[in-house]
Amino acid sequence: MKKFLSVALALALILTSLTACTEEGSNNDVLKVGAIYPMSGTNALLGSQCMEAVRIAVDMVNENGGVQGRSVELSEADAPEPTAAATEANRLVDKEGVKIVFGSLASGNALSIAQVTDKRGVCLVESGGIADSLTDSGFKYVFRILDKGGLRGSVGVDYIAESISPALGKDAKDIEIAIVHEDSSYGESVANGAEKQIKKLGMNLVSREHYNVSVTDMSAIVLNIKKAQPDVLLTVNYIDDAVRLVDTLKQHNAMPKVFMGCGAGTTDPKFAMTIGSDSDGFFCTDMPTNLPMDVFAGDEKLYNAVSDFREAFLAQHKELNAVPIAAEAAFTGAYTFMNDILPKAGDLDDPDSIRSAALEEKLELTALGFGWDLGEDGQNYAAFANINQWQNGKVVTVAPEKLKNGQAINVPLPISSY
Amino acid sequence: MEQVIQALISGILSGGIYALISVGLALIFGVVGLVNFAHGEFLMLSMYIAYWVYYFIKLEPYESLLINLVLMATVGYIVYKVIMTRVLEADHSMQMLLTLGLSMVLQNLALMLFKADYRNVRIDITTDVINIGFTNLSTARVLAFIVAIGASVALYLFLQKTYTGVAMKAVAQDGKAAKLMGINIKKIYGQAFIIGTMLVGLAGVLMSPMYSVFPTIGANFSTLAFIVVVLGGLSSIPGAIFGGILIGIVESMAGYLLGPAYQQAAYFLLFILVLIFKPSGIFGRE
Repeated sequence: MKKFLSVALALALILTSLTACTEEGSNNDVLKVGAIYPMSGTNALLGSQCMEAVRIAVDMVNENGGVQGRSVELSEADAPEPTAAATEANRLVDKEGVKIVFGSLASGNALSIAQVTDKRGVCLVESGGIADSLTDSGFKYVFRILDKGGLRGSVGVDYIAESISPALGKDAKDIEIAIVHEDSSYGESVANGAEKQIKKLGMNLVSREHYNVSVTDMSAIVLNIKKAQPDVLLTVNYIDDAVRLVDTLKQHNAMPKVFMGCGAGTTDPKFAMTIGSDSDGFFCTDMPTNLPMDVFAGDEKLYNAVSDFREAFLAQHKELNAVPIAAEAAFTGAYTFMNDILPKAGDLDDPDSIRSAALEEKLELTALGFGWDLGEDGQNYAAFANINQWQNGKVVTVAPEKLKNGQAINVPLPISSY
Repeated sequence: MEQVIQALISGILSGGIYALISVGLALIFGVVGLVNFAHGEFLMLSMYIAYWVYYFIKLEPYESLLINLVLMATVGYIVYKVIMTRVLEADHSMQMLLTLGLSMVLQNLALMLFKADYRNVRIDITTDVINIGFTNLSTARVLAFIVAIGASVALYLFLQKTYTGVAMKAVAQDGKAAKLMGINIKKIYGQAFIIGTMLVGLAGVLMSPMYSVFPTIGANFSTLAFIVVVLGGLSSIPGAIFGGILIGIVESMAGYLLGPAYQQAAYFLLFILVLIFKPSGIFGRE
C-alpha cells in the first residue's frame, strides 16, 4: 500500500510539474496585469466604477491584438482599506504573477500597494491617489498619470484669486476662505496645497478643519464654518460626506457665497443628482472630465477609444448621465499604459524596460485631456487640474481657457446664507 | 453662545438616534446574552427595505413603517431560529465569531445584490428645517429623536409592566431560576431577539431620509452602538438611552469646541474613562 501511495504521489508530482511547464509556456502569450480598487467598504462605489473602467480598457486592448502580440489577462482585487491593499498587492504579485498593477482610487491604498510592488519590480500605474507623498517617496516603478493633490488645491485657490474675487467685488487679499477636508492623505494633500497657495497669495484663511468620512453628524463642522462666515468654502470630500455637508450647510443657514469642491466627491455625477438644483453654481476642481469629443478630433484612435469607452460604461450605468471622473481616470491610466507605453517597452517582463518606455514617451493628449510627460519621480507633469462648475446638473469646464466650454454662473450662490 | 446651544441641541438629537440603535443591542445582550456584531447590518437591511419600498411603490419610509417592521421581525425570527439557536449554549467567543460572520455575509450579500451605490430617499423632510428662536433643527432629526425616545420609553414600560417583559427581565437576571419558575426561556430569547431587530429596524426607517444607504452603512453606527451599550451598562435600557444621548452631546460639543477632528477621539476618551472608573457602565450593576 505504501509503495502504491509513493508511486501515486510521484506521478502526481510529475503531472503537476508538467502542468506547470505547460502554463509557463502559455504565459509567453499572456501579459498578466492586476487592478486593485476598493470594491467594498466606504469607497466601494467609486472603486467598482474604476474596476469596470479598467475591464473595458483591457477588453479594448485585447480586441486590438493585445500588447506586443500578448493578450492581456486581468486579475482583480478588492481593497477597502490600506492593509487589505497591501495584502492583495502581495497576492497579485506572488500568486497571480502580475507585472503591472492598475489602481487605486484612494491615496492610502496607493501608498500601501507601492510599498509592496516597488520592491518586487512590479509597476503601479496610479490614476486615483493624489497624495503628494506617492511620487515624493522615491518609488522607482510608480507612475502617476494625474496631477498631485497639492497642485489641485493650489489651482482652486488661483481661480478664487483670479476669477471669483472680482465676481464678488472684492480684492483677492480680502477674500476669506475656510477649508474643510476629509482626513485621509488625499484630503490632507489637497488642503495643504490650498493652504500653501493661500499664504503665498496673501489671502485670508479663516479656518481649516478636517473630519473622518464616517462621521455621522456634520453639525459641529458646519457650525464652525458658520462662526467663521467665509466668502469661499474650499472642501475635499468623497461623495456621501459631500452630500451630507451640503445638507447640513443648508440646515444651519451656513452656505457660503462660493462652494469650491476639490476632488472626486463633488465632481461625481451622483453628487449633483442627489442634491439636485442646489448644486447649480458649485465649483469642483479636478482632472478634466467629460470633455467634449472635439478635443480628441485630431487623434482618430484616441477619439474612437474615448467614444467607445463612454458608450460601454454608460451602457452598464443607465442611471448616470455622464461617466464619473474616477472611472475616466482609471480608464485613461490603463488604456494609455497598455496602448501607448507598453508597446514601446523592449521587454514586457523587465520593469526597467517598462520604466524607460514610460519616461521616454511623450504624448500630447490622453483621454483625460492632458498629455503624458513623466518626470524621474514617476509623476506626470503634463497633468493638470481644471475648474469645473455644476450647471443644470452637468459639469461645465470654466477654466483653463483652452478647455473652457462655458462661463461661470451663480457667483455668489443664490442659495448663499449670508 | 447661540452656536454652543445649537451644537448641544444637535448633539442631543443625534444622541436619540444612537440610543434607538443601541437599545435593541442592549436588549439582545441583556436577555439572550448574545453580543450581536450583525446589529449594524440589520440597520443597513432596514434602510434598504425603506429605500426599495420608496423606489418601487413610492411609499415614504414613514408610510412604509409597518411593512418595514414586519419584514425586520421576520428577518429577526429567521436569523434566531436558523442561526442563533445553535449557539445559545456555546461559548461567548463562538457566538461573537458567528455574529461577526453573519455581519460579513450580510454586507457582502448587499454588495452583490445592490452594488456599492449610495442610494438616497430624498423627500421633503430630508432638507426641511424647524426654526425655533436662533436654532435650526432638521425636521427629520427632531422626528427621529421623538420617536426614538418614545420607543425606548415604551420598551422600558413593556419590560416593567407586562408579563412577557417581566419574564424577559427574569431571564436576563437568572436564566436557570426563570426556567424553574416555568418561563419558556427559548421563547423569551426569540421574542427579545425579534424586538431588538425591530427596534434597529425602526432606527433604519427614521434614518433613511437623512443618510444614504450602502452596504457598509451599518459599520458607521455599530461601533457607536457598542460604545453606547457598554457605557450605559451593557444590558440596561435606560443606560442605553442615557449613553446614546451622552455620546451625541460629547461628539457634537467636542466637534464644535475643539474641532471636528476630535469628535470621535472625545467619545472614545469618555468610553475609556468610564471603563477605568466604572467598568460595569454608568447604569450597570457592580
